[in-house]
This record gives sequence, C-alpha cells and structure tokens, in this order.
Amino acid sequence: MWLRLARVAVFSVATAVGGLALGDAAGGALRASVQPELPTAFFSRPVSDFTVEGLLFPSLHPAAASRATCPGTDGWFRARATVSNGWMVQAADDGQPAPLWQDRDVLAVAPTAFGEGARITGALILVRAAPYVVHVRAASRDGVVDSMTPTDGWAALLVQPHKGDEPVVVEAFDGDGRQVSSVPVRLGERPSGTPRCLSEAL
Amino acid sequence: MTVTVPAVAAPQRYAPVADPSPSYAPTGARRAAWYTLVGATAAFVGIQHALFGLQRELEAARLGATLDGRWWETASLGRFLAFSLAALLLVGVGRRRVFVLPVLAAVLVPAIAGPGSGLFPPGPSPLGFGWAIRLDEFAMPHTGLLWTGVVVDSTLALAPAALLAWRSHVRPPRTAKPSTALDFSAMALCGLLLVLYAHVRAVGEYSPLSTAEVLAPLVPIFVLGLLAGARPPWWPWAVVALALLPAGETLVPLIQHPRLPEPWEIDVLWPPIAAGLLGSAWPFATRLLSSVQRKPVTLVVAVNMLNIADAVLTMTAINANEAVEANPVASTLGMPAKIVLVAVASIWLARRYPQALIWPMLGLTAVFSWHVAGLALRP
Repeated sequence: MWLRLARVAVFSVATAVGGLALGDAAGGALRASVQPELPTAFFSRPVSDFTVEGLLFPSLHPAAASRATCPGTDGWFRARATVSNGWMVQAADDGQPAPLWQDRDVLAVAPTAFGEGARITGALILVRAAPYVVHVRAASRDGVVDSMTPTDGWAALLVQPHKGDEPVVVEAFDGDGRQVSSVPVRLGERPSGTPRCLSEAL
Repeated sequence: MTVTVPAVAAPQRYAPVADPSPSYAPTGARRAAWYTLVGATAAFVGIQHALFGLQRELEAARLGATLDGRWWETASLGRFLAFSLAALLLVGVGRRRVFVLPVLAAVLVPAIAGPGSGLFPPGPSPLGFGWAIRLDEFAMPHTGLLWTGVVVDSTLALAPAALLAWRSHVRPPRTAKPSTALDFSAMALCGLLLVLYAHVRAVGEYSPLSTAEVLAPLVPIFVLGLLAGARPPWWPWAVVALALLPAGETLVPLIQHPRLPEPWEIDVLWPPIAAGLLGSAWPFATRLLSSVQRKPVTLVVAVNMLNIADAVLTMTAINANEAVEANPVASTLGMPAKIVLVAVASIWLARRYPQALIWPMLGLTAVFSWHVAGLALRP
C-alpha cells in the first residue's frame, strides 16, 4: 500500500517536472516567435533619489497620434524620472507643436514642472540640442545642477531648486567646452513665441 | 365550481441506473488521467510563467515599472484547474462526448459576447491570461497569440478527460439526462433567469460592461451545471467548488481568517456560484414542474396568480412610464377582461387537457421573472 503510494508520488513529481520543462520550452519558443515593439533606451542615469531615463518610442498613444501634426521621423522621445517607491514624473514629445524655451537653432527646451499641491518643487526638462552640442547643463540660481551628454540631440535634465520655482538656466557646450547657448527658463510659466514641434525645433 | 380531472400516474423519472460494468473507469485509465492532469497542469504553468515573464519585461521597458502580475498568474491556474476538473467531472458522470462544452464555452463565448475576462479584448479568451501580450505598447493583445492560446490551453485542459473518456467503459450517464419537453423547458427557464441576473448586474450597478459581457464568464459555469445536473438530494457541491476555483485569490483569505465577506468579495464570489446553481437546478425544476403537472388545481391557481401579478406589475410599469402594453388582447379589452379571459381559459384547459396547463404556467413564470428583474432595476 505505502509502496504503491510512494510510486504514484514519485511518478507524479516526475511527470510534473517533465511537464514544467516542456511548458517552459514551449513558452520560450513562443517568446522567441513574437516580435514586440520596444522603445530604444537612450540613457539611464541616477540623479539624487531619481533615475532619469530617456527613451525613443516607436508609436504614440492612439489619442495623441490622432492629433499629432509634427513629424516623428525616428520615433517619439519620452523621458521619465522614477523614485524607487514607484513615484514617477514623465515628459513626452506628443507630436504636437508646443511653446518652447529656445535659443536660436542651438537649444530648445520643454520643462515639465512637478511639486506638492500648487507649490513647484522641481522640473524634468526635455532638451533638444544641435548636433555639435556635446554637453547640456541645467542650473538653478541656488546652485542645484544637473548635466549630461545628449544622445542623438536628445537629453533630459532634472532640477529641484531649493526654493522651488526659481529660474533655471539651461546651457549647451560644444566639443571644446565652450558655452554655445544659454536659455533661461521660468518653471511653471508659459514661454512666449509661436508653438513649435520639439522634434524639428532646430 | 368543481374541477374534475382525470387521475395522472406519477412517472418514474431519474430512477437509479444500474451500472452495467463493475468498474466504469479501469484503474489504469484513472491513473493515466491523473498523470496527464499533473503533466498538463505543469506544462500550462511553464508556458504561462514564460509568457508572464515576457509581459513583465515589456512593461518594465515601456512603463519603467512592473505591474504586479501574481494575481493574474494565480487566476490563470485557477481557471485552468477549474475547467480541467470540470471536464473530468463530466466524464465521471458519464458525459463522454459533451465534456468539452464548458471549456469551449469559456474560450469561445467571449469572442461573441465581449471580453468579460479582465485582460482580454473582444475575441477568444484563452484559459491563461499570460497570452494577453501587447506587441505594441498601445495595441490590443495580439489576436493570433490569443487563438494559439485557445488551442494550447484547451488541448491541455481537455487531455486528461479525453483520455479517461477514451479508456472508460460506455455506460448511461449517472446524472439526469434531458429527454422530454419539460426538461428542456426547465433548462430554458434556468437560462432565462441567468440572463436576467446578468442584465440586472450590468444595468442596475452601472457596470461598464454590457449584459453580454457580464454573461460571458458565467456561461461556461452554467453549461457545466446543465451537463453535470444534480441528483436528489439537490446539492451541486462539485459545480459550486469548481465555479469558485478561479476566484481562489479572493476566497482563500476568507477561509484563512473567517469573517463576513466585504461587498466587493461578494461581487467576485457570488456570480459564478449563482451560475453554477442555476445551471444544475434544472433536474430539480423538472421534478417540481412534473409534480405540479399532476395537480391541475394547483396549476389553475398558479396560472391565475401569475397572470394577476403580471397585470398588476404591467399597470404599475405603464403608470410609471416605464413600459407600454404590448399584449393586443389586454390593450383592446383592458386588464380586467384579460384576467377573466385567462381564468376561463385555464379552467377550460384544466377540464380538458389538465397537463397542458404547465405551458401557460411556464410562460407566465418567465414573464413574472422579467417583471422581478424590472423591479430590481427600479431606482
């Protein structure tokens, strides 16, 4: 009786392991057969408590896509800053002309401010830079600085000024380390000028 | 007035059927079915694990965060086991061909009725939710993958029961098998009650789902109840247990820490139980109807009471501008004339064809159920 039960138990475990292996192999084959669309990861870097990522997505949300008038030749740039507890702020090129803070044909920036209630505590800034710009930097008046090297002309800077909605200056530098552009940005304010597509602002 | 009726002999229905073979399923067949169940379940888990892994990778790349997919993985396993065991249950009670129907209803009805199953868009609904992979961030899950999932999951879920059915001896079903018009009428009445229940849930609770979408996940359990039936004493425990299996994530905490369920827990647990009970209630309903069929006085009283209830409820609904009189006789002659007419006709039928009175009673019961659903929907 016990021997028979033990034999059934052993065969059951063996069958389960075999089935699991078979299922896993079939699942692996299925995974290999599908070709999902994935964003191209441009960069991922830590900034204080955040991780700032920049990604080029192949498509827009259907609601945005139906309104999009800007050309998204290589895709649509989206940046996100995530805290380890899951809190996230996201800024995206949604394919529509937007008011930009801009300096000639060197630098165009679109900040997305965040905060607590009505109080602004920081901003994630989408940056579109000319091809010869190798470094961009955002600095608030009280000394908070974030900088990075653009990828394909795209960058995302995270600034959290100590006093909240202080003016921030976004600067661009060329390969020789010379400052080639400087754009003052007031967080929470709408820049003047004609709305433009971020993807073709320069 | 005295109503004289001929005596009607009580038919012997659902008498225990003598088992022609001493062992319905030989030990070897049962053992093979058990190993197939274990292997198929493990294979299902393996496939789902790989697919959920891919879903998590896609979410992490697209959203920067991974959604908690544990609930969906457990629910998938619960759904698979429920329908696999349901097929085995049906083969066990002698349904050697139609045991496939609950599984087919589970995967195919949503293709007609609507999603009804959480992650899936309108279309086929595999047993495992891992198949709902979005190839593009904003697109619906891929239809080709969903159909592959339907084939793979159905094959795995039905394999143990198919093996048992193939290797078992043929014998009459051990449960009630519908054969008479009364049986099918009782089934239709149970089906109507299920549809009305789904309608009240969809409309009355301001659900974002349509009646068909609320109904879709309940149909397979109802079909299982219909096929498994129930022998006296009526207690379809197996159907109820299988109906609850996919809701294990909600049920287990209630069993671990017994307490009164919260309203949302009742919302999860009650609909499948109701569908299972309604489905398996038809033999009980047939027994009740055939018992009433032999009592013409009871039939006359029931028909007239239901008719009066219909008249009163229709008038109430008309006065509240919620309905219009669709019955040409009632709209031409008026409600009192309709009541008198039905009373005279029912007494005439009771004298001439007493057993035929069961049909107007069934029709009026359906109408009364419709009214009750309407009352439940009133603000």
